[in-house]
Amino acid sequence: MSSAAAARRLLPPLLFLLSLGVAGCASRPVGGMPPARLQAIAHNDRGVARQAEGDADLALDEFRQALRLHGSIENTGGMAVSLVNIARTQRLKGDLRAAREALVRAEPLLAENPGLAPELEFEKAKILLAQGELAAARDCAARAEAAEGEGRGAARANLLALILFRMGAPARAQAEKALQRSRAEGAAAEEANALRLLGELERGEGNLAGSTQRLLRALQLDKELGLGRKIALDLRGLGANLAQGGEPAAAARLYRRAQEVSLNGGDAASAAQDLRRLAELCRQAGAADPRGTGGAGEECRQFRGGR
Amino acid sequence: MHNEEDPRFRQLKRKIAAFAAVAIAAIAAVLLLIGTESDLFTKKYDLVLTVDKGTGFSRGMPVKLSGFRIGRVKSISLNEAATVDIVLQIDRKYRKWIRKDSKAKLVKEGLVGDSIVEVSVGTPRAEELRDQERLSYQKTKALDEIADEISEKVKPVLSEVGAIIGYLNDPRGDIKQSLRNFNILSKNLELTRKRADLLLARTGEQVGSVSGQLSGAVGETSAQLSGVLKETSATLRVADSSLVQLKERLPALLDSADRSLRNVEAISRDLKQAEEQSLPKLPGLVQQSEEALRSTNEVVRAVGGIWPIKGRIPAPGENKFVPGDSHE
Repeated sequence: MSSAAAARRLLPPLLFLLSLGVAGCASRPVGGMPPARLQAIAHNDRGVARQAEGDADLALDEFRQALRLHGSIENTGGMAVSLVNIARTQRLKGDLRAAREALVRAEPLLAENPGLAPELEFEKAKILLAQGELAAARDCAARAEAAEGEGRGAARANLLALILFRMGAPARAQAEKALQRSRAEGAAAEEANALRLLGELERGEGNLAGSTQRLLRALQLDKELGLGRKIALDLRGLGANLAQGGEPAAAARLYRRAQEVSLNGGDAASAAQDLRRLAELCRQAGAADPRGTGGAGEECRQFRGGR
Repeated sequence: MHNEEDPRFRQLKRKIAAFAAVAIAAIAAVLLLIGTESDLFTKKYDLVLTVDKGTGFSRGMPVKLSGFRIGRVKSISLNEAATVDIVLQIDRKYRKWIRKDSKAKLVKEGLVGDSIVEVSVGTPRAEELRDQERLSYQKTKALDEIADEISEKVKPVLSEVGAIIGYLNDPRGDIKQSLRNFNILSKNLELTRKRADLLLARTGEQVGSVSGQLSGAVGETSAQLSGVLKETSATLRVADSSLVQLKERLPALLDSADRSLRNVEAISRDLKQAEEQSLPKLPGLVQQSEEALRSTNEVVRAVGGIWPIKGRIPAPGENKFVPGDSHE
């Protein structure tokens, strides 16, 4: 046997042994964090996953476990994160009082964790907005935007624009800023939000063509992301544009589409609102043309027929 | 040469100069006094207020803070956005009270008093407003709006009160008819009492005759009862034959039920035996499972720490939030 052949035969086991050695030398025990902290992080991650699956109660259980474990080692940063997550889940469940209580508990922890301020102020603004306290919500949203460095600046800017819009204050500049930031950050959902808001603003200014263009782009983005509620909002906005532009038949079709999207997504309240809009449209169209459907077309005939 | 001169005109120039100096000084003092009273010499700065409508505002209108006059409305102008810019001229010495979160509102002093612009005191944490900076405006309801609001709230109440009074006064309504019926009823009650007295007297007379008729009826009933008893006897005979049939079939039924119960008992015994055998093993199995899971976890963590893999496993992120959409 030649020496070359012997070397070829010995090479695979040698390589295997070498890789084992390298792996052994390079390996280290996973450390750096105490077990309680790792468990708390795992609970927090599970809570986020449960919330994404739509099971708010299970998510709350996980966040409370995470809070308890972080509290057992006085990890104030982790506690603040758990409390913000509890507040957000409670708000999405509709329990605004519990949400606010969680944030009140989180606020003193910010002194040691100033980096969490944007998220906390953002959530506080959302709760205040849901409670109708618009001026206070605006202040919180402004603080969240000011405190945000890189990352979720688009969401902060968008929220402030929405609050200004609800207050009836000039919101265009803020919405344009949100649009720019969302594009810079590559946040497609926030880009769609900003476009939708700009569409609403332009409809208010009478620029229906511009509004429709913005809403169609928002619809395209929302469809790509698969956000049912947002798709319904876009369709509703487009319907309102057509209704305002004197095209009741096309508007009725869009309201019907929005209603079907809401119904299939399990949002019965929004679906009911769409039906109410459709009924109002048909009523107005019927008043203009009592013998027919007033140009509102098939949708009104089906509506009248109790579809 | 004789130079004649009136003694009153002596030093006339000096007298005129002194008189003019005193008059000028007096006028200057009066102007100074008026200027001081009108705050002409105090330092001022401007703040800008934007409102939807300029109704109620006028130039020179007082601006007050905590009831004290601190300035006036300097100018009112329509801006490019078709809203109204109002410039407030404020004494500089009050600047420390007017901050970013101060709010201005148009209010009336008393129910029929003049309108004023009232500015609220800002919180010490907020920054002071500087010259030409914007002051936020808080819209207030005008008296006619408040009156309209109250009127709208009171209207339905008045209409309901009217409806209730109309209902009470309606001659064909329930209340009036009930009162009429009650009146008729009370009249009829007297008549009824008299009739009842008469009826009682007649009843006493008739009781005697009824007792005679009753004894006859008892005889008839006794005859009918005898027939019913005969029918009952026949029915009992039928029931007796049914019971005999049941008695014949019952042992077989009981035997079948007994067999079923024995089967159930056997199954229950088997189940108990199985439970007794398996239950003691359960804690051990659970413990072994836990140990296996722990070991697996350790192995996974150890593998995760190995050089080529550890770079691909993200470090546990503590700041993971539920995604929060701005427009959800």
